[in-house]
Order: sequence, then C-alpha cells, then structure tokens
Amino acid sequence: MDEIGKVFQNKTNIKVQYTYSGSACLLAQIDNSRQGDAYMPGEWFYMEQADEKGYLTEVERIAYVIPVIGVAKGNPKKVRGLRDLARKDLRVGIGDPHATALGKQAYIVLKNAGLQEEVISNLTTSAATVPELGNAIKLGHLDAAIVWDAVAHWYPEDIDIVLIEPEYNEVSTVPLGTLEFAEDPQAAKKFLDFVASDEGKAIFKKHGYSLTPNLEL
Amino acid sequence: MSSADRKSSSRKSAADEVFFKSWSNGLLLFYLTLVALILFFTARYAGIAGYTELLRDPDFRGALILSLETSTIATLLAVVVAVPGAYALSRYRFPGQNILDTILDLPIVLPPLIMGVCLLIFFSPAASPIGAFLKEHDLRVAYTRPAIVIAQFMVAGGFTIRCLKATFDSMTPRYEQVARTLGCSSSRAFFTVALPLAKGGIVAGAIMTWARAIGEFGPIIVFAGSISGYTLVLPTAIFLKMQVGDLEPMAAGTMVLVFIATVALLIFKRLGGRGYIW
Repeated sequence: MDEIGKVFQNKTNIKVQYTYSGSACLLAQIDNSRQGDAYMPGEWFYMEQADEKGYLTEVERIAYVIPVIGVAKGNPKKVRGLRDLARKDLRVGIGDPHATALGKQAYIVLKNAGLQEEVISNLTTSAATVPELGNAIKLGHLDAAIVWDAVAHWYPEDIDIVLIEPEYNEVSTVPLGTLEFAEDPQAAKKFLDFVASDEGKAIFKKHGYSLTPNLEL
Repeated sequence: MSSADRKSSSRKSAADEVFFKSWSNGLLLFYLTLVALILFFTARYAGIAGYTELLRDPDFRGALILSLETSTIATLLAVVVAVPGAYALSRYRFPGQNILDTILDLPIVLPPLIMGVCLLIFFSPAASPIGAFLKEHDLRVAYTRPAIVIAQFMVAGGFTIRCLKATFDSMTPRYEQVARTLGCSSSRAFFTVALPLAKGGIVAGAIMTWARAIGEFGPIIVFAGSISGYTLVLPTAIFLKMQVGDLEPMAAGTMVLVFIATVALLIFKRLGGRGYIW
C-alpha cells in the first residue's frame, strides 16, 4: 500500500494517509469516528458489513488472498495438508477468529475439512495480527500456521507454502471501497480507480497478492 | 532604601506571589480536570450494559484472574532479584557502574513492545542457542503462561531495582557500618540491619512493580500471544475487545484496570512511598 500511495501521489499530487490495523478494528474506527475516505479490509465479509451500515459509495475487487499453510523453509516437519495441523508434534498457529479476517477464514476452512475441533485444541497460539504468524514461523516458535499466500511471500528465505486441499479451501477477496465520509469524494474516487487499474494491481502482484482466485506460485 | 521603596517592592513581590501561585495551581488544576474528565467519559461510555457484558464474559473473568496471578508472581521474582541488586548499586562503587546503570534503565525507557520482540528472538529455536536448547528438551516458552510472567518480570524488574535503590539511597549506611564494626559480617548487616529498615520502601516498591506488571501489554501480546482462556490477560483482553469493535466492554475493562491501579497507588502512598520513578 505504501508503494501504491507513492506512485499515486506522483501521478496526481494527492497525498494518501494510511491507518493500518485489523479489518474489524478499522471498521470499528470508521464506525466511531465517521471519518475516512476509503476502507480496505482483508475480506469481503467486512465490506458487506460496511455496506449494510450504508458507509460505502463504491467498491472494487482488487486482489485475492488464499489461505495456505506456512511452514519453515524446506518443510522439515513434513506437513502435507490440513490434517497434519492436528498432529501433536507440531506447533500450530492461526489468526484470532474475531480480530482477523485470516483467522475467521481459517476456522471456515478447518470446518469444511471437519477438522475444526482437532486443530483448535492443538493450537499453540492464535495471533491478533497476521504478520505475527509469519514472524513466529521464521523464528521457529511455530512449525505451521494458516496464513495468506501473500504473507508467506513476504518471507521467501524462511517460509515455504503447503497448499490446502482445494475442496476445503476458501479464497478471499480483498476489496477497496470509498466511504461516504470522504471529505473529497473526487480524490477518493481517483484513488479507488488507480488501485483497481492494471498499474495498481501490478503493484499488488509484485508483493505476492494473487489477481485471480487461483494460487499463483 | 526609603520606606516607600520597601513598600512598593513588597507589594510587587506580593503580586508576583499571587500570579505565580495562580499560574502554577491553575495549570495543575487544568491537568487534573483533564484526567478526571477523560476517566469520567470513559466510565460513562461503558454504560451499565458494558460492565454487565464484561463481567458475564468468561474470557474476561479468566483474563482478570490470570492478570492478578501472573503479576503477583512476576513481582515476587522482581523483588527477590531487586533487593540485593538495588542494595549493591546503592552501597558499592565499582568500575563500569555508569554502564551498568544505563543497562538497567533500558527496560524502563524502551518501548515495552520491543521487549516482547527481543524475548521472541531470545527464545527463538531458530535464532538463539537458548531457544534451540529448550526446544531440544521439548520445553516451550513463547505463547505460554510462563511467557507472561517473563515479559512482566523483564519490564517491571528494572523499575523495581530503581525504586528499591532510591529506598537504600535514602537510608544512611552508618547503621550497617556500626554493625560491622561491632563484628557483623556484611551479609548479616544487610539482613539484620538494612533489610528491616528498608521494609516499608520494599513493600511500596513491590506494589508499584505489581501495578506496572498488571498493566503490561505490548511484550505480552507479542511474546505470550492472546489466547482466550490461556494467555489472555486483562490489557490484551481489552485490546481484543477494541479490535472487534466492542467498545463499551472495552471501556468497562479499562475502568477495571483504573480501579486496580488506583487501589495500588493508594496503598503505595499509605506506606510512605513517594512519587519518584527513579
């Protein structure tokens, strides 16, 4: 997002200010402050909530994030799929299901596979933010964690991806929406159009996000 | 100097006195009002529903109990280390004392979150020999309850040493010197003379450490995680409430912490603790 902000500013001379936080937290902030020009949650679900409250003026799908199992480089514990996350010899992490879109999605995926109880009781941690999981794998505190493919791409030296069985997996859409509280609706619209343009999406792709619902390795 | 001059100069100083007093008191009053209003609005925002929802929440009750337990253990550990440590710092001069003093200040002045990251690295099986050793013996520290105590101990411990050093500094070393000239060993002089004299200060320091530990947030969420029913403590529970937009229970939880801190501070003052930090 930082890079997009810079490119956008160079093009339009409009400066973008970001507040980074979990999807639900941001929505709560919008709820309370009635401020902000645009909202980008990690999951479509939060966009629906924002829409129900009548906050949105326009929405675009920007990228897709796909749950994968992140493991240490070389997969030393030989994790092959979701079922392995119930293995007692593994230290497993997922996102907090209330605070993060990733955690919510992980619960759904595990439920699809009928593994929810087994894996949840085997958890070492549930993280309040997504990058915590990547850091914990990198530092060896976790053997495996359900993370977004994009997050795993941030650690090319330290993290390998194990695919989740497609029949259980659920791809998430990362949307961007302009808010009705926008002080300058035209500038907000320009920003939305830029991020949704090929140029904007290319920046997402560069940072590991998928532009189609299929995993691109 | 004529009597008229004297009068005018005394009048001037009286005016100055009035001005200075109202200026300093006024600013103090401004700050106090601000604090009081902030707390009042937070307490009011929580609403009756906020408090009842919070107290009915088993996760929150568990977090409250865990907070009380972990900060008590962390305080005991901190006091055990800090009493002799602070005594040594206060009574002995040795080379490199300035450097040592600075290192002791680091946990106090660094952002607590950083301590959490440092602890994750310190105990990392991938990045530290200590972490690797623990993993070999199948011992896990990160994301466990002991991790909470370690995080609280590391941050509050430096603070305890500072508090207790101030206590020993304020006591004259003469009594211990007299005890030693009368044939006491150094350790006996410490245990029978210095320690009883410092008792009030130690208890006050312990209470401040405890209040600090129970309010600890950053290093705990990073190093111990925020697992409901396992490593969720009061401040992290409040944070998670905010994360999901439950602002009323969040405000209620904040007031619970304010209440605990107020009680601790009152006991601290009652025991003769002073408002110093270091």
